[in-house]
Amino acid sequence: MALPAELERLLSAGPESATADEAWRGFLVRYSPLLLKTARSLGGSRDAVMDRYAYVIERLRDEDCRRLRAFQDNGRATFVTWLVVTARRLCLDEYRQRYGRSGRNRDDDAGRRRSARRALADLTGSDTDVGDIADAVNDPARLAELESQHSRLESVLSALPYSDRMLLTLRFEDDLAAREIAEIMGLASPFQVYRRLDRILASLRSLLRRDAFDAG
Amino acid sequence: MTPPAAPVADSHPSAELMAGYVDRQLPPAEQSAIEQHLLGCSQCRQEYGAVRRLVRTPVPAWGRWAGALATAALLTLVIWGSAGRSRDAVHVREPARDAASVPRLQEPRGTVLTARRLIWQPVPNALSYRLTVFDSVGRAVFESETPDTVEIVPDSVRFTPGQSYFWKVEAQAEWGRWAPSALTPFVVKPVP
Repeated sequence: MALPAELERLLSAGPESATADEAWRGFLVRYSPLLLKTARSLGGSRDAVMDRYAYVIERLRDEDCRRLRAFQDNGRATFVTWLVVTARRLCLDEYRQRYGRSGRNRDDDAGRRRSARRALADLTGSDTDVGDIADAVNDPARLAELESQHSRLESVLSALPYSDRMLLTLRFEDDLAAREIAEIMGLASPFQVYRRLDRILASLRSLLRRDAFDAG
Repeated sequence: MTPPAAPVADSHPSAELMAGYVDRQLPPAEQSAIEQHLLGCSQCRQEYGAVRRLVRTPVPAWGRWAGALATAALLTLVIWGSAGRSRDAVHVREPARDAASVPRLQEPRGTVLTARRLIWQPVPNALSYRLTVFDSVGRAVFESETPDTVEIVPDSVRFTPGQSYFWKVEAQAEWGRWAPSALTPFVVKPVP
């Protein structure tokens, strides 16, 4: 796949050549709306958006367009998508420089996963309640039973196809609305999300009941 | 719902891998590795969702003006701030193009094995492209707008093997003016 013409011209112009500025202008004319949209997507005031946009533009041109030269035209990704990923990451860098890193850490992620598993356990009728495991720490028999149930739920979940697992993750861990999930997963409408959720949960209930029956 | 937490700190996908995954152009092994990572990393899931929305929704009309104005402002700063460069007036817009320049559709054309990617030749100075895929009775089954010359058809759009489809691309060279390509047919080859 050939590089976009504006990018080709930009990368072939020497840094101090007379054509470098013109090539950079041409690149911005074509891609500024996309870069501005990316900067805007992270929210904030108009000034914050423009600061982010200016930061992205400066970083893209830095060191003779070093970041743009990193794009590899090998058919693995289109330039536009790569540019959006790169620009968004630069926007996040700008945010961190300005405000520092967020306080989120692995414990927060682990907490969200526990909450998600609890919600899923409720919906599938599983007897597992992650909280019970902590309560049963002094009761070895009960603890073993709960860990076994928990393990069965995890086993059944891990056997699901990737798209089903992702849908559950987006719904229960990230707490996204059906419309957002439909957009991310390429589904035609939120109703397809609900239908698939219903099917997945019914399947999980059936698998868990069969598992419990087999376990005797 | 997710496998045991993966060590995410050192395994976030590169920009190329994330973009390739969004575009569905990675080989199966790499695609699977990224999927496993996404299941365990909320940060990368957020990035994937955001990038997908950004590349699939068109830039709103007002965004083009805002982009042009922002570009003009920044270019003025760049030109004035650069030592040794002449202080010429900044021209943000290229001259109007010849109306005869229309996109040439590259693939899919005729009988194809798959039609997940729509590719066309760029039109000089085009600001944006609007593409439409029609079924054999003229219903639009997919529409999109992009500044690129490649569009990935989402999974929710299914082309029935053996059925004829038609597609066209319109290039926007000036605000409000669109030049359409010829309507090009294709058929996804039925699997024997």
